[in-house]
Amino acid sequence: MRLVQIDPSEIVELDTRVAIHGAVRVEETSIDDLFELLVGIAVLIYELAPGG
Amino acid sequence: MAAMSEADRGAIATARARSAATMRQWRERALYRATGDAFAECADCPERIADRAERLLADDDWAAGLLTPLVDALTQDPWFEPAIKFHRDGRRVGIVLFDCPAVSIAASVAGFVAGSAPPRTIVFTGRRAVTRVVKAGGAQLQSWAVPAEDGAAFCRSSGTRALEDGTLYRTDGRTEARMICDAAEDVVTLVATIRAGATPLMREYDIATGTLVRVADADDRPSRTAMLLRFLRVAGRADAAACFDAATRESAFHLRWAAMREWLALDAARAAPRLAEMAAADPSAEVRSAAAQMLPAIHARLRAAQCPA
Repeated sequence: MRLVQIDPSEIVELDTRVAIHGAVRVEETSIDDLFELLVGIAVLIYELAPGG
Repeated sequence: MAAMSEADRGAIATARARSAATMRQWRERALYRATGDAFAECADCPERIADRAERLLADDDWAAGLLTPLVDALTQDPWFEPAIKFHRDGRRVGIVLFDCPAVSIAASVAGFVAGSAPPRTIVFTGRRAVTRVVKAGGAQLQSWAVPAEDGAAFCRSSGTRALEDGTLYRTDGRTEARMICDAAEDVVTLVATIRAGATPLMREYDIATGTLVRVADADDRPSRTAMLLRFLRVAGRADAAACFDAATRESAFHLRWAAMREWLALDAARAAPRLAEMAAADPSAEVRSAAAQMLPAIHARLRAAQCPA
């Protein structure tokens, strides 16, 4: 059966937005953007070598 | 860059074993063991840990007693590599002299740099700390406060005082923040950071306006878990339902909701029963509210998915 998936933009966030550990005093870089990039790279590697 | 000689490679390889033996001996010394014993019976009581840390730091010979054997080892063996944690950032360099489940004690030198711009933000670490100023360097101690440990939209300045060599002070990082500033020379400190009773979040405020800039995980474990859960979602691992479910039961409220968000984005049907539980009984009012807000929309989507087009 096909999965029912909700777009993350439709899921409410908490009032308290918590940045990842290490984000304090990091003003120059968007950590979330950086993380999405890292996940993209990780997924690419996973797809290329799923058993590697 | 010049290539390393074979002789140097060999020297480094053999020095590793010597360094490991030296560090084992260092941790077996009476002073190191006595320090561990001092905290062994009070790991869950922040006030008692602070009392014991204050007594240790007030002892002029304690830090020197730990450092001297390592300095001697370096003098005798230039390849000696002390296996202790080093911290370095733009303002200071430090080493962790002692670390146990109750407390971490670090020695730091904050370098005096003429004309350097002062920080624009102040951080409430969420942890209690005891500080001994070994060399004050003519610096001032600025303090800020918030009214409650669960955070506030604004912090306020609570005074500035001159530091002197030997000054000892405590900071409750849940409601207080301090910064050493306006030094004329390098400032040397010993800081005991207490793990028990800490809040899970750090809060950073703008100094000029006092406004809250950001909130972040004080501990790296919830952040790592949240990243791994996002990876599972992006990788389409719906078979990892047990991982998402377990994370929605963690102690950090923000991690519980982060896990549920990823689970809903991956497999709303499997996540829905747990979402209903969180709406009814999660310990955090914020999480209960968010879950209750999502519940009708998720049920509607699941019903729509069951209906033939």
